[in-house]
Amino acid sequence: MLCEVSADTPLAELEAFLGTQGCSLGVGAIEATVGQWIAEGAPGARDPFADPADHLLAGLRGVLHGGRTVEIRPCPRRAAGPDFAGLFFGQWKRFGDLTSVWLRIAALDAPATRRPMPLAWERNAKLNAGEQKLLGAIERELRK
Amino acid sequence: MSNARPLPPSLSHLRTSTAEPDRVAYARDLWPRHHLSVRAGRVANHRPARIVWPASTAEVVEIVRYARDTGTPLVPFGAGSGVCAGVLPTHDAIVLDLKRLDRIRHIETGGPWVDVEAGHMGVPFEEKLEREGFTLGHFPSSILCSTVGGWIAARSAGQCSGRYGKIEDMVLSLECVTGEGEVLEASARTSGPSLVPFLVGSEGTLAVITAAKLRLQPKPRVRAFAAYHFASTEKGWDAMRRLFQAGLRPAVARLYDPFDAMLARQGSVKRAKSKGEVAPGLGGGVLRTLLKSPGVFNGLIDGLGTHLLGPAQLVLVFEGDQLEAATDAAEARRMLEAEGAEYAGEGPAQKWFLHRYSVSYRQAPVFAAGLFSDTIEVATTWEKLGDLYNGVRAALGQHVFVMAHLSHAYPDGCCIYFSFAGSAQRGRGAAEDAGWDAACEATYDAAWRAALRAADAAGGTIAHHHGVGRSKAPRLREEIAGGVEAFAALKRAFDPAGILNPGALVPEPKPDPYAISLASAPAPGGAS
Repeated sequence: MLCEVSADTPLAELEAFLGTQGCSLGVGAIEATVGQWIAEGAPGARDPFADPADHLLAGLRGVLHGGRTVEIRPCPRRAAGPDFAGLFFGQWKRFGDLTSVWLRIAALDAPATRRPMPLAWERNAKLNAGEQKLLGAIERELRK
Repeated sequence: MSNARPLPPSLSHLRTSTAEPDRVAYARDLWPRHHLSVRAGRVANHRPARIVWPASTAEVVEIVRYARDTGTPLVPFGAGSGVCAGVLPTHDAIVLDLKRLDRIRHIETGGPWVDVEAGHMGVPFEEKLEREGFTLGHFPSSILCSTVGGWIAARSAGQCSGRYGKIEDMVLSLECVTGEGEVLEASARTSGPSLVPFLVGSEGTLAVITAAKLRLQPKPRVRAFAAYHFASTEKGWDAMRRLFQAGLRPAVARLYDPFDAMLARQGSVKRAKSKGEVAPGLGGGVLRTLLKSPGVFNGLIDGLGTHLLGPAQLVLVFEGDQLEAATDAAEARRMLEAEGAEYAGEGPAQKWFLHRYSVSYRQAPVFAAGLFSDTIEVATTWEKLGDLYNGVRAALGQHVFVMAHLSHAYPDGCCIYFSFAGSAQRGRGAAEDAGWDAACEATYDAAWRAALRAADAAGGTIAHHHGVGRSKAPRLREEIAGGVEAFAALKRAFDPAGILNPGALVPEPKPDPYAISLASAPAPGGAS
């Protein structure tokens, strides 16, 4: 099940609405808009490594800082080049702002993950110099 | 004869070749349209100038910097099993074959994860992991002829994606060499900036992937097999949706439409009874005639219906430890039978498992018989699946004989895998006059154009796991609004000189002496 929601919707408001429909994102109380939450990498969301078949972000619409619109229609997976959702997800608005997103939701009574798959790995390693340099280069090129 | 410029003395230690047999061998991947070209006598038109076999990341750096400084196109190459013309060298290009980068650098049993070089071939890699008690869980049909780096570059999916995900779900970090010749270690992050989403699926256009850290899973102790029959394909995929939305994760979940299921029941690859039997014969002649009118053929098959063809068939394989596999298989059976499915025993699923890599070897006899075949894998959300299935099937069905199965299911959607076969269709005008192979090529191109257009119109993706290469590149703009411009910015950041696999993902603006544009070609007969 998916829901399309405007990026400026408060996350708590979205969860409250989904609750009335018998659904949930499975996120606790977080004070942020949906757009801000996705830009920060969706803290508190289910661990993507726990259930590799499940993804939170199915599609999006956003505007890059250079003014171009990017629209990724909802789809469970694709192999159509790089994943351009990476321009927004977890980038802390470095490259642009979200307008709306498609999120995977679950019924309140359905466990999202029956058997989480464990992984001991630093999920948020510090950026190295090479990564910082390229992120800066991408930011400059997207503004052109 | 190669027009490769001599490498400088500083690169004399690299293993390299400009010999004609090597240039022919590296002139293409397994894009089926190439097979048509070869059959028509156009053998290896896309020969590169040179092939280089680096044995280390340092050697990759050396050759990338040379290419950058000389403006030489550089085409990263795994095992050449791509089917979308991701490898299509120009006459001045260097092909960089990475198969000598084939070491497992480290296995971290506590993670668990593995650090493996990009050129490692699929089967020996998995065999080594299994000896250590692990699995990557990635089993593409091409596993016998593909590399780890190729999987990542093309955003590949394996047959067990229901449990383990696609390759992008396994990547923890990537070591690669950018177009500037700099080594980059890019990590996946769950709540922070990451370059990994850009590199996975970049098909050699942004950087040369030289190694990857990939998550591992414990090697499964048991597998539970089951097959179910459904009155229609639609009822089958509705049941698949319910399974995945209930949190069940069968490693394998494949739903075959009635005709595909009938073929599966009859067996896999048939061995030739005698030498030379793969040559065109009476059967090929009959098929060539039938496939000249694919609409009639498709209508005939549809008209037979499930009462003659048999039911749609779902194959499920659960794996893990004893309790997990048995419990989940029992839960799936309870759910499916409640939905009206008929349990068909373990046999069909075990049979599929036994022959799971055989399908790739069916293609050669088809081409030898004067026909052609290919596949297209599209995906969308469950809500749009019917529109996508019917739209692409109808579009292809005007040009070729088509059948389908659904594999790679997720809680929010599914991939549809269409297989099709065709011949020189009637009414191809100039192409028909030019000869059988030219008319086949015209039919092939028309079928692809129609299928991609239909997938786009239905809101689906044009590629679930085969990638884009050059064959689907003209459609990327329609699939992801703003994607071509965003890709151009990424390209300038990673590869300012534009040397890495130019023309893949996005068509080159300048004339390419080897390019075949599916977008600009006219629709033969106006029927697409």
